[in-house]
Amino acid sequence: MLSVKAYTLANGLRVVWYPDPTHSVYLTLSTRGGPRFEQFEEFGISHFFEHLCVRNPDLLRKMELLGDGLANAETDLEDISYYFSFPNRNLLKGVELLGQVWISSVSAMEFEKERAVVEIEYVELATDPRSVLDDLFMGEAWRGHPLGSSDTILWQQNLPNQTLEQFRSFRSRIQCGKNTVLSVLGDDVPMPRLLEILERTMGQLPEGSAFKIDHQPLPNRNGFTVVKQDCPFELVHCLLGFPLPRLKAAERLALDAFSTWFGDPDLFSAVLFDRVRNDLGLVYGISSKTEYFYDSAALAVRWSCAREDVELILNVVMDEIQKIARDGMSRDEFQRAKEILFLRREIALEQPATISEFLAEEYLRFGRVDNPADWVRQARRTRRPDLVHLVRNYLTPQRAVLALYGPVENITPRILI
Amino acid sequence: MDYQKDILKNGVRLITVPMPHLGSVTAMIGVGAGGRYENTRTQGIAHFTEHMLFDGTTKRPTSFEISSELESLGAHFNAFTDKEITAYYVKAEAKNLSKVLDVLTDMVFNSKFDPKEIEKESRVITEELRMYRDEPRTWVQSILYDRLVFGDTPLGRDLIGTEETLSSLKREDFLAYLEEWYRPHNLVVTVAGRINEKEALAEVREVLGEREPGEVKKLPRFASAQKEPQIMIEERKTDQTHFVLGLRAYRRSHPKREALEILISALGGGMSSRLFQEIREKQGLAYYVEAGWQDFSDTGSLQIVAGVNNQKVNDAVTAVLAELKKIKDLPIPVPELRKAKEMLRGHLVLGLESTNGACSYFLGQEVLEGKIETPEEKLKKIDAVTAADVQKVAQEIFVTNGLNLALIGPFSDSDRFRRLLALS
Repeated sequence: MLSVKAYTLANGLRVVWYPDPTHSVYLTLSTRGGPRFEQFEEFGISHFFEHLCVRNPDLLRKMELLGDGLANAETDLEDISYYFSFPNRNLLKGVELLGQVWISSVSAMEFEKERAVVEIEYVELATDPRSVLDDLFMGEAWRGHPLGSSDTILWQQNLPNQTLEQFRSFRSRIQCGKNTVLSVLGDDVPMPRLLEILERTMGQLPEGSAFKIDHQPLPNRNGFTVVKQDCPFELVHCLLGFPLPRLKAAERLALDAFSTWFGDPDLFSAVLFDRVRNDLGLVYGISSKTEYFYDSAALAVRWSCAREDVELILNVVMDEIQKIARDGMSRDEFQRAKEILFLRREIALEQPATISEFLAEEYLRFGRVDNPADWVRQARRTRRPDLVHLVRNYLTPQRAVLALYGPVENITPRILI
Repeated sequence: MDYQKDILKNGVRLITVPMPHLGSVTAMIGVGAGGRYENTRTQGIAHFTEHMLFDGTTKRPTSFEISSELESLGAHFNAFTDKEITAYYVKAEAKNLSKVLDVLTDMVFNSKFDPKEIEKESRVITEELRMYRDEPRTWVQSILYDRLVFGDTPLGRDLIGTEETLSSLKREDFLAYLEEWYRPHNLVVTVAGRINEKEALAEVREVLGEREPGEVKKLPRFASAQKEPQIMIEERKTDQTHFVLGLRAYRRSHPKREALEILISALGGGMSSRLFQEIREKQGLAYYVEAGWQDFSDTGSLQIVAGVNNQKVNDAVTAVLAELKKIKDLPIPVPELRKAKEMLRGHLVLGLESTNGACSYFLGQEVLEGKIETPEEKLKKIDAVTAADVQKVAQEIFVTNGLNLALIGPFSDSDRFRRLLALS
């Protein structure tokens, strides 16, 4: 059976390799960072950092000459990740360039150019339903907590004030060996030579230390809350979210099983899709997703619908959740939830980019990583009491936050059950 | 990459692609019909039919019965509709091929088209339509631009339909549409993954071999009458302007296809492309800017899409046109040509790493062209393209009277943009 191997550079940067047989090699570079770790005056700097750290057109061009290169980058609330891929034959050259891009300096001129790019991106994000709903939900459910301060509008307002010195200071804190993980997924990878290259490039970064997690309890919730932002769309975009405390591994598994069974976006037989789309024909799509932070977690259900249907759908979703809270889950239903999670994960194993991302994020977050095949098998170890406990205690009307974006000026949906 | 093509007696074509190193199999059924095969009254029916095939068959009466049967195998399934093709696919563990083919063919040939389900699904698609209207980036690229370039022809009509057509389609319309286009000669089945080709052929023969043969009629070709630059603006109070600047280009199987693909890659493929570097990195005018190609059996269109600051739309359009002129006037340097080729190679190879990617590659060609070019043949053609070939394509396509600008933003005056549209 294939197994994950871990290495550490002299400066503490961790490298994890999974020898999956693919024609290309997939790499994910992740650092602990993101809005959670920003000071007030720095709001938005993580995302700006994400852009600036790969702002080297010459190197990117050389990288693309190798066949692919930087596929994407993203800033989450607690980490920043870059995704690369190269054909096997060009891997070492690609990693050399990747290392150089990552540590190359940023001039004042490049800084200003990228500021203009980010400014335009914020205009888009400020009206993007997914982004607006995330901000509304997190801002309400994590009010007063470091995770609740992330807001695209604040980033946008702060952007003109951000300076090159601020970026350099943030970079010196975030970009160090102990705060970074690189995952490598591919067959026949010459690891000794790859590690040599990494020592020469990323190994030159200071050792530093991993960003410290200031664990904070979740704010108390005393009742169903609606937060909304009006906008002249045709549809209302909705997010019904539930904040949860930090979960143990077994509980995370249970929440994943519940969310997959309840509203996996790729499952036509998911409960929500079947009830709200198939039975009622009220939406094009409806899905649920889990999110895990260092000290808390979330389950979010998303849909878009006509203004007059918001309350009806809210109550259908709550009704389905309450059925589990009230009656528990039958053995058959539970078996199905567990098996679907297993099968979804098994299929994910054939998506190398997904597995590369999983390896880097798990290693960064927990300091260890399961063999992907074990990660698949774990799904079958989900326990029914864990799942029902989570639903009864955390997916309650009292803890629910409904975020709305669209023509919502005069609507205030209520939970009627 | 090996493949085998077989034709059943009734005309159904089967492509098998063995990928023994993988654990999965994907089965895909493609039909040579889509939005282009509709009339004004039935506009949206191709996509609507795709939805309806998930809503219950005589053997599996509800959508839940179909989805739970497949999903309990861990299968992933979906469908897509385009202007000239509609396809349905299931990806599952290789051992489940028989079951997968059984469900897939049941959906395609035995769907009920229950009037109540049609009514419900029309509401769902209307929500989908409204969702797209709320997304200016999607709307300008998928709807507005096609209306501008292809006008009041089947290619110019919105694939999703209109609220009026969606609510007026009846069961008889769907049955007539299926009868006309879902005929054996117009069907291709592709099976890729860990398969035994003989067994796969036997499986397909069992589920499809008894269907009555039948050919389909040919559609009239599209002919452009464009004589000067065209503009279409949808005025909206958006914070950002989204535009598509496009030119008439080649049909899908044009002999200069590969040169065109390299031109597009050099212009707007990836972060090191000319447009990305100039428009976004150097001038900071756009958050996204990329180039692409819409290819049909008899026509095509090269498109540059961008999202820009409202105050800088003129600058962005001017900068895009300047890049087009540059690449038309001077051959691209050898390293850039090599990079564009590597990118195309890389995308092709990466796309073929999964069973569903391989299915799409082979099925698309067979449905749309009736012939297959292997990845190796395709790569050879890419390798053979020279800088002069690319420049020749740019000179043929980048002409003022082929320019089209579709735009969504806070503007009503098209003259301010018309003045910019020149490539001489």
